[in-house]
Amino acid sequence: MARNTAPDGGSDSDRVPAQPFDHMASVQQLQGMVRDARALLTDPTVANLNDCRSRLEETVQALRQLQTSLTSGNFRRAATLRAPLGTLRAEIARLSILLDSAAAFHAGWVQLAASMVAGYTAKGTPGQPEPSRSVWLEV
Amino acid sequence: MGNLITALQSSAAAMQAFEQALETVGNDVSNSSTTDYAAQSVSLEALPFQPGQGLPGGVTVGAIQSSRDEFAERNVRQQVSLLGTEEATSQGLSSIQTNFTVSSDGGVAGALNQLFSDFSSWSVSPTSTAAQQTVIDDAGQVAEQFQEMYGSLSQNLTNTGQAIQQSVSQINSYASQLATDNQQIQNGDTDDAGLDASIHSTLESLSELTNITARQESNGTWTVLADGQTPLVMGTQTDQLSVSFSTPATAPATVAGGTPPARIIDSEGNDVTYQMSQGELSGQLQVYNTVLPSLIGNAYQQGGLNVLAQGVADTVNNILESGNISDGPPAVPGIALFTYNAGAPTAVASTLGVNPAATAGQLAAIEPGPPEVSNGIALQLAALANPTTPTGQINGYSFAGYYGSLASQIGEQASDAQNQLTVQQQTVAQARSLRSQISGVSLNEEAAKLIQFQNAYQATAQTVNILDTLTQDTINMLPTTS
Repeated sequence: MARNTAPDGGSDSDRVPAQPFDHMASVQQLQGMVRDARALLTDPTVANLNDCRSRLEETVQALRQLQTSLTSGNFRRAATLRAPLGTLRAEIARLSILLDSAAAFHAGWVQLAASMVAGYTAKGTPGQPEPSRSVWLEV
Repeated sequence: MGNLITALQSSAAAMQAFEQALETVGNDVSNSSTTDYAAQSVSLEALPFQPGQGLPGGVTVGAIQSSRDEFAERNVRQQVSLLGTEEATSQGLSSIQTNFTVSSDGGVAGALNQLFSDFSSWSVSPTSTAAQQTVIDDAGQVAEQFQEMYGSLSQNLTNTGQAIQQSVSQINSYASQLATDNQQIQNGDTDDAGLDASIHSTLESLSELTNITARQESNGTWTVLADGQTPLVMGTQTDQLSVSFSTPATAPATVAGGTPPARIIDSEGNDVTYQMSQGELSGQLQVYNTVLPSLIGNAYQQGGLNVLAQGVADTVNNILESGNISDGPPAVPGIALFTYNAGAPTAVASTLGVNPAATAGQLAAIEPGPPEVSNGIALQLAALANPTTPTGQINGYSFAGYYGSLASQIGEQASDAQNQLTVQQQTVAQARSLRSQISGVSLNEEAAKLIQFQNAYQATAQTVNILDTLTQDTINMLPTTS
């Protein structure tokens, strides 16, 4: 009697049983990804900011996978993820603080520069600089 | 997260303004990457001068460059100040936290649990001299644990007070150093790079201790104010700060015998404590004036440890005194088990002791009733372990639970402070990195990068927002119990 074959041509006995999705390890990995992204913000160059963003996008993808597996997994065990996911949110909050701080630095400097160029309005806000104009006279 | 997006939107708008600003002075950003592009010499002198609209006219590029550098320096000092706060707060709270033993068999909590267990045993054998003696012995242990804890926390208070004095002394020392540097500048040493570096280093060290505003005057000297208000250095003159451990006339003590707060006094005798809102000094003041008094009290509050000690002593004494040692006739009333100095509310924990008159045969077990219950008092005392009525409760907690809440509050504060410290350490590293990033970079180059920064900030912020929302959604998906 012929043995059943899997669609890919491999026999059943060749198949490796699917590993159960380790939710806890997955969340810990997400925490590590956010931590690594956060570390980049201690030196917020344009390159590092872009690198940080792409790592965060990877984290978003990984988190979506976790969500998918949660909907099909054992919900009773999943309750234990509440604390590590809370820690993940705390990591994201820390990252936000650093991002906010770097953005505030540039925003502050830009406002200062604008005020030095165009002064302050009566409301106390930096003035709007006027674009330079030039006139060409052709004879 | 909403605040972050708002901040970034504001940042983006400001960056556009900066781009325009640089265009205004003829700095063509689009050409900055063109091969053989010759950087133009930027001048701001030709800008419109419109005093009616508050436009003071142009400034030179040198002034902008210099302002940019000073802006970066100020940012570092500000972040270092916040780091100082977090370091001092975290250190103080960690030190306090080590005094709390929350295990059921150690410290105040363990001694209380043992005493309630003894009451329970006594209720089984209300006439047992051995059971009564065990109660007295373990009541002594309770008193000892309260005294020990109060002593440790008092030592924390002493150490923090000394740290405050050291910080103020160090602030005065840095101020004197800056005044000396100003003297050197006034003597004509205006272009000394070494002196400039030394001044900035001193300003950074000073900002670690307290929040300062430093401004360079037109003659090159530095004026330093604490919190932008209290002069520390003006020219060659320094205004020294001092520490006073006293209650102000405007807020006299409300608790007899309580320790007065630590106050910072300026050279004119004004109380400027509230201006020390950042830096190590701020953290030390917070621990000295707020955190420790919440436990051991001060001139304005009794402190949780004293509240607990008094609650335990009064409750146990009242129950014992409501009972009888023997039903007579005549009936012999019970006596108090605990004593403490009732005249000093903040010294209850430190003076708590066992009534020297209390001996094994004098503990009242009989509840007079009617009906009389031979072990009724011992049962009432045993019930204090898990009280169901306000008697034996503080703020709705059992005595052991109240102690646990004190420990938990300190633990949470210590944990928060440690988290804040970790983030602030990274923020300082970031500020130093930003300072070095712009050091030596031309404004032309910077203007070209600002647009990239703007895009990068916006994109990253949006991703952070998505990630945060997604994480919250995932948490919401989880069942509430395991």
